Amino acid sequence: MTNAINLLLVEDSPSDARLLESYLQEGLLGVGSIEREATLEGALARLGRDGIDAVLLDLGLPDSSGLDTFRQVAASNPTVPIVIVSGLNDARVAEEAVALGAQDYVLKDTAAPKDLARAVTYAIRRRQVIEDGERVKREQLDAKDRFLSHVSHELRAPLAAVHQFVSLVADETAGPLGDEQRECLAIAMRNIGQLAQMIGDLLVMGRVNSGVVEIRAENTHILSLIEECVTTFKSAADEKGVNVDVDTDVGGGALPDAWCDPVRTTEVLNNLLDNAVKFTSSGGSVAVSASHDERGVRVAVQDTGRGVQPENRERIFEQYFREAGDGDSGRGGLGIGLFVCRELVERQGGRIWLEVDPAARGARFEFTLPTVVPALAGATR
Amino acid sequence: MKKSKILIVEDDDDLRKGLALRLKASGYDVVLASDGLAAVSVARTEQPDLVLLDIGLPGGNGLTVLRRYSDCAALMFIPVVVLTGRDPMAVEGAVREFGVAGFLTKPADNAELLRVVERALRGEPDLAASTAATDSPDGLRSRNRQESRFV
Repeated sequence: MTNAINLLLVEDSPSDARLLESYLQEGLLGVGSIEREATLEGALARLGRDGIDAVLLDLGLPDSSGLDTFRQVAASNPTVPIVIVSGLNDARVAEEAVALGAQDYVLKDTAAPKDLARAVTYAIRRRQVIEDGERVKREQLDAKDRFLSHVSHELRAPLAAVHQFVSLVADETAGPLGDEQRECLAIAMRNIGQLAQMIGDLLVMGRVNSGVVEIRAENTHILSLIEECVTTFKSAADEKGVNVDVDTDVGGGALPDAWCDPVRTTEVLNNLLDNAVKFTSSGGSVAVSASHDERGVRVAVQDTGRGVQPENRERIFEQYFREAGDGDSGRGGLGIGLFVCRELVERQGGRIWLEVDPAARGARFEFTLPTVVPALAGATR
Repeated sequence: MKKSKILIVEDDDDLRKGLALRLKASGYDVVLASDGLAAVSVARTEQPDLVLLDIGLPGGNGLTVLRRYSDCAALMFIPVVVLTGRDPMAVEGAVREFGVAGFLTKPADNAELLRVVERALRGEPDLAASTAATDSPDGLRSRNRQESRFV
């Protein structure tokens, strides 16, 4: 270790403190400073500031004792390694502290200077190894998001060219077409649209992961939002022979405004509707409804499709998760939509889940959004 | 009536050709540039009625081109529609500062592209741009707002 080690010794007995200090000076190379606190209060105050590389902690202090001492010190500064210094009579408590995350413990009565030095040195090294590992993991995740953003960008130019030339032929700018050719090109165009959607999803996911999605909450009339979203899905659903209904009867008075970001909520609704239409076959239906209770506004998207396996009820919200069989019949997508939905709903203070009704066919997704804070509503009206 | 002249600045050869065919088919005259330097020199010599501008370009990217246009008395009033494959959130704010007439992400829907171009040529303000001052520099956000107005 190249830098001097700055230690905090938390010990209320002056004689024990002097002994430990002399052991540390003798056994540990590169000691910079040894600061001392005799109370929990003093230790917490000191750890609120920087500059401590490791803590030697006596659990029995005038203002705290046992594991509680450890818990409070650890919580006040989770990155600083802690070595418990303990009497023979409370070695068991010291072991429990290690189980809770202390790096090591030494017994005051029997420890030699080199034992103490080794415990402190290893504690600091172990902590560094963990931090290095966490840093590498963070860097890898950042690199992955940068890669996704790059891929998304690089795919757009060729896709835009394909889109342009296919559409030039499809809309007969490049010459007249027969019915069969027109049908072929319509299918190509639809697939280009799907590809563009997926590339966009990659970008959105990178943003959600890196936390740059901004939430701008405002008073939002959820029913109008639902109707707007359903309108945009009407033609795709009609084409597939799936009926989409909005149930505006919320039961018991008007629906209060939700306190949410209308753009993000639209993204959530679009994702849920997209899934519902995708997984419902011809002749089926999708129903969107809204209700409210004391916890907020609640929106449900119910379809009559193949539903979700009960064991996947939680996992479908995981990033990249796709149900087995998604790849067999058509396309399940990238496994991003519901992950993004959950992130967006939770960041707006709501909850999203898959409702399970064994009697019903299909899937029923519900999410909540907070209603306007009354004090705030008064201020804005 | 005289045809409007559009300068397409796009470094991807195929896409440049495709966009040229699309705009010609819609009754526009088209001139082309494939890098940032040509974007400025061709604009000077051709005096187009509108520029369709990519952002990721060799020889000075789209933001540099916008800066050069805004510094030049002969070019500063030509409406510019940006068409980019980059993350709108990363570039739209910077682009909007130059008062562009439209912002589109590749691949743009043809109907929307033509709508934005026509509106810009008529000198009408871009709907998304009018909210940009109070809105975040987030392309999806602005675009969704814009689309919702057409629904």
